[in-house]
Amino acid sequence: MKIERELMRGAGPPAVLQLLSGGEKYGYELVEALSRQTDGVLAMGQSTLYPMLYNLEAKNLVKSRIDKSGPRPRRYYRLTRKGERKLATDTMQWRALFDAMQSLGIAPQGATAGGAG
Amino acid sequence: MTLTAKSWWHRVRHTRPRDILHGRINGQLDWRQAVAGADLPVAVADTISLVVRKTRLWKREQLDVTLELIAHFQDGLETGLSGEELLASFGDTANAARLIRRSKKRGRPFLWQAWWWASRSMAALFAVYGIVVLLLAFDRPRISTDYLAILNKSSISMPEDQRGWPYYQQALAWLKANTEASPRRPNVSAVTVEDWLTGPTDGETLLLDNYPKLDTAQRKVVDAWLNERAEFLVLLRKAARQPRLGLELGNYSPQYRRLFGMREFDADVAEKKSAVESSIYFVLLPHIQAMRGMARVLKADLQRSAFQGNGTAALADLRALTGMARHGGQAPWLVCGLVKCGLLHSAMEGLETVLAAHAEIWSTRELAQAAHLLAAVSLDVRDYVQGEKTSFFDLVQRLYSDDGRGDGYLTAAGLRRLDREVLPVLRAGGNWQANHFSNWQYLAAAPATYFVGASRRELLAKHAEMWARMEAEAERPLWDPLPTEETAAGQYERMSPLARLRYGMLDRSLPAYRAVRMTFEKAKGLREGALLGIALQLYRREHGKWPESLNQLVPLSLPSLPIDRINGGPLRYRIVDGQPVIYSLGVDGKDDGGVLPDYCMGDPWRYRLLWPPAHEVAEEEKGDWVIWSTGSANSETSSSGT
Repeated sequence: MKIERELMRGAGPPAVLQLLSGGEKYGYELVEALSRQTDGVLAMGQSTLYPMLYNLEAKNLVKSRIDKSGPRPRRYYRLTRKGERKLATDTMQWRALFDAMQSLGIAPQGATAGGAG
Repeated sequence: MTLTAKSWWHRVRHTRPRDILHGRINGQLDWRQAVAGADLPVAVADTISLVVRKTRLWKREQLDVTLELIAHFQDGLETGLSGEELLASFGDTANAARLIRRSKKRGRPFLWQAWWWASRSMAALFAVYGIVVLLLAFDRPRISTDYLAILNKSSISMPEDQRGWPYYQQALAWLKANTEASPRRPNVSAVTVEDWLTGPTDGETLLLDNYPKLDTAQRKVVDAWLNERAEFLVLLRKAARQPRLGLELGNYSPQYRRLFGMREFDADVAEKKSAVESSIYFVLLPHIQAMRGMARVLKADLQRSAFQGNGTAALADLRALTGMARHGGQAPWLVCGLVKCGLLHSAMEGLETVLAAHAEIWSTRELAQAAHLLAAVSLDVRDYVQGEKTSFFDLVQRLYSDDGRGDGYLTAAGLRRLDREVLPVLRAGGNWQANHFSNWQYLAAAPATYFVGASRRELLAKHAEMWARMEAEAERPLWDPLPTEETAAGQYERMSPLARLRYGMLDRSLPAYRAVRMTFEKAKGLREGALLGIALQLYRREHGKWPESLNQLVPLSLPSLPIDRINGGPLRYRIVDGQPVIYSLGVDGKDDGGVLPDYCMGDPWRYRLLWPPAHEVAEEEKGDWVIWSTGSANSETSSSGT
């Protein structure tokens, strides 16, 4: 299912931050993880992902480093403290939003905002 | 990544400055080389090149993006996906380039961000400034109301035989034709009205103004001078009898212009006349000054008539002086009101001469006529408010644009006029030197006035507010002034420097209404004194003595007694050397025995009405304001107060 751009714009950054909370990742890894873990719902192409990563970096929510030890140089991204705080805030807001949508019958009943229900 | 052979200059351009400084011309920033060396499918390499090129980022940033995209596609290819599959999930290249550019720029250093925003802001400001310049370049003040025509409407419609000006003009023309040289400048032919009216001199002393104090020989000189001008005096009396002056202001006839040495008026000159020059704000009134000179001659003749016992001529001169005061004050500007007060003062000085020692030349009926002549001259400063306001409106319409809804702004053409024509006049005391910039410079400066200065509507609103305050202040008696903060002056004091700049036009264009009102108060006070003087004379004729109190004049001679204009209390009355003295306690509020302060030099017209009233007055201000006296105020006191 393709998510509308406006919704994606809101969901993309916390999704990326959440993925990075598990440890640093490079661009392709993030694309793969997003697609796999969300059953393709939040799959995004490079044209969306990299500008988003650059934005997050400009806001000091993520930091990047170049690793030249592999077969090719790769840029790895990791969460900053600010990014962690931002993720915590976003998580709370998404849960509140999910609960609200659930009470309206938009989100499925029985599911919980904290994870699979 | 393989660095293929490139020119030395190409490599320099794609090398970090730090490496150049170390002599390493490595061309490492050449992202195209990075793409070429990545061994990617052609379609993928082309897509990366297209995206990176479109980002138009710095070389270092472009290289970063290139390397990241290369790594991304290589990772994808390693998972077994084809180039086409990877490209299908890439997204729109133009959008990618746009988003990458935007996000990368957000990550640039603070100094660059500051510079970027500052430069954009400056560019925006210049753009707005440029738009305003264009707006001001094409907009022009629009003169929609001919205030001068409105002003002159009643004068033009008046029948010739009811106009006083033709006779005044005849009188002055006669004087010009019959005066050969100026007493002030004996070696120069008489060229100005002032010269013709200077009168005889005794060395350096002008004799015309001091007739009662002249010795016999001096009086003979003045008498002869006046006798030679008998025809001139007849014409003046005839002129002053007319109900209105009837002079079309501003659009002066060639005869008028020649009389006062003004520039010849012809079609060519009329076309060259600027918009400001032709505004009623700058209408020249040389005849007003001439009237002051003519009044000096009339007053001297009145005084001579008193000394010669010619009551008829004296009364005719008094009638002429009061008539001239009415004429002089018929134009709607405050300066004309001031002239009116001055001319009336001349009439009252002549009356004082008659009543001081020659009262017998007038019958009781003639004394009553004299009183009526003086009382008939209106002394209301409010008569001149609308003229002043109208003048300002006329000036504004010649400087500001008009959007048809009462708003507008100072245009470039208006700014030019303001600098070259208006401010040199308004700031005459401050020696304003017109800048005489080029039109382009005025155009460039005009937006500054657009942003800083008040709009037409704001300016007129502030003008109305200041006038309302000045009028409210003038409505109050001298002893009960408005609180300072409610006055126009107080309001101006509280304005911030920026607000003063914003309403700078008002700074000099608002008249000194308070000072003019004080002159009117003085004229009214002195006229009340003169009317009391006539009433005292009538009482004395009937009873053979001066009254014990002014109250005895009411109601037979006067309907009521005037009050002390300074403190609102009763006027004081004394007999000094057998002559009555009527006075106000003055600004110090103390009875000094009917003695003027020294600075007045015996002339109550010089008395300074302090505003607002001071609690403590300076030593030199101490004394009384004598509003009627026909004797020496310094002689010993011989009678009581009110």
